[in-house]
Amino acid sequence: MNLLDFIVLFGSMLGIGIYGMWRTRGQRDLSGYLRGDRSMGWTAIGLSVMATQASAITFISTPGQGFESGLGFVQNYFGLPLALVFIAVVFLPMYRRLDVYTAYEFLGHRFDRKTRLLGAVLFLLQRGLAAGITIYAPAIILSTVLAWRVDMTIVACGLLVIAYTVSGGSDAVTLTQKYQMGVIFGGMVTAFGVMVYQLPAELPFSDVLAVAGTLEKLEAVSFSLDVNQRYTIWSGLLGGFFLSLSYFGTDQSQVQRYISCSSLRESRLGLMFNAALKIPMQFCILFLGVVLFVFYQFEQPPVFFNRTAWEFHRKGASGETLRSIEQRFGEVHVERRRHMRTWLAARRAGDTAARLEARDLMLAAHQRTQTVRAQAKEALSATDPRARTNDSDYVFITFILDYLPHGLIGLLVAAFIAATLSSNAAELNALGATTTVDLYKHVVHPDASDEHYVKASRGFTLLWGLVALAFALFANTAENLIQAINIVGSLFYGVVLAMFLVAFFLKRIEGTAIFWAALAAQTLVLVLYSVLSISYLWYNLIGCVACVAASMILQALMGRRGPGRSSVMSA
Amino acid sequence: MTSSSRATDDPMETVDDTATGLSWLSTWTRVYLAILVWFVFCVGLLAALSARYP
Repeated sequence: MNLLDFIVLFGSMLGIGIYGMWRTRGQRDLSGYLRGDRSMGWTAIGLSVMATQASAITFISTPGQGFESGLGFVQNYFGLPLALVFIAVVFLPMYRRLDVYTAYEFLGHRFDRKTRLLGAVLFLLQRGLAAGITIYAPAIILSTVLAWRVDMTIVACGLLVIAYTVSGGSDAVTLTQKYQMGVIFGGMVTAFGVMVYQLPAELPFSDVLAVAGTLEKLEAVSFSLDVNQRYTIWSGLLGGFFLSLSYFGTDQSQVQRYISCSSLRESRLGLMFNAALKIPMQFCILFLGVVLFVFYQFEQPPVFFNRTAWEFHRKGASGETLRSIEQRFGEVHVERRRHMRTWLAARRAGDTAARLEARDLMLAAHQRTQTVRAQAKEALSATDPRARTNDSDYVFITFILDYLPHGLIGLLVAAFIAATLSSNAAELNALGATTTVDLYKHVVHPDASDEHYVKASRGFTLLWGLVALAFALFANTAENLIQAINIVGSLFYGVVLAMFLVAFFLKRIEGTAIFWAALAAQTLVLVLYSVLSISYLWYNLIGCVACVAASMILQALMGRRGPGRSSVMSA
Repeated sequence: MTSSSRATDDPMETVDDTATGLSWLSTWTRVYLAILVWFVFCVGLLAALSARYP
């Protein structure tokens, strides 16, 4: 990165942050601070919901997933539109009718105090953890490839997001997210344009699809019934539905976004905006990775995309082994490219025999490149057993640094940091709101003034920001960053969702039954996670079903003790 | 062209009943159905892409 890149990066990030602080200065009442002034329209809220979900990991790692495994990951989002429609019909009207600040306040209205606290604590546990990963994950990648100090990157991002979130509350989060999404979309579209422009001139778009399809990158939908397969249409529809229902319907970081709308209509339209655009958006990001894969069939890729780690070990004791692997990779890449060009020429000429022969040769050459890449990872692992051998997170950023002109590199790095800030701001805002409303105001200090609660909210937001920073500074990396966050979410989300579904649909069940059922189901999920190796998406379903069933059994055993508090449902 | 409009407290509920043959559905139901049709279209398109390049 040169001076121009840094001007673009700092100018856009600091500019958006400072503008957000300035526009939302002087928040005095709790409703304004935690829910905005409720004047937001559906486009701002729709973008805010989208920006909260899409962290930097989405934009750095997902193209890498497309590059490595093709389009299959898009199935993870198949349950999302259905879940958003369900939330718009069932959850949203109730939140607005009860005029809640947090989703867990609703549990208090419907059940009792301990169930509200359990919901809030489960949220604080998993979201507090995820907030650290949201900062850490992109910081480790950016600092590795840009030779920045990882601790300084984390601290700089963390302090900026803490500053405007503490200062302006919910309104500052929504306002900055709007401009940050502009930077993100601008950056991603630009990167895609440059990538397509730099493809070989003789390669029409139909050939790009042909290459990607032949090398198994366009298998977007799998109908396999194998529960161990991570992404299938079934796990996407069922697991994805429950994950999305839980995340958008019960996770305060999302609920806080859409209850800030000026009316029920605006909130619903904000959610429908996401229901319509999320699958196409994820497809586009994955497809960018697939086009990148085709791009690197014609341009020489590094044998291992985390070049900093590779170069470090290349200069060490195993240098000779790594250099010979590198040389071998260069040879098999040239061979694959030659067979690919022959195959494409035969395709265009309509020569079936030549096409089939060249196709087999190309596939064999591709297999050899994959074998050499696997050997490279094995060699790296043998050299340093602690080294991460998954380099897919580094694929897109490597392309950006190698092929984008200066200025645009700064824009793309700004896009990644904007995505970090936008997600993290919503998380901190929600953590601060839940701690203030469900713990501090509800349990510790019930009768203070609005101004006191605003100060408390600012204090808790700051505290959670510092906790996230500390976690990010001391975290160790997971196998794949994007999946780590989803796995953590899936372990808790099913049970929390069940508490809400029981609240909405099983009016006979009371607070004590759901409370103990939730604890039992959460224990079951954690035990199953430690002994089974099924796709993590299924834990949403398992946790949810176990909790609902346990609550029904417990309620039947205990019998009804009173008229209950389900009258809130018809209030 | 004749049309009848019904207004509720929700501005989305003001609809032109002759505009579609779905006048028996509420406006929001139509919005949700449109989203579901769009969803089926997207999934269908992706499945077709997978089938085209197996």
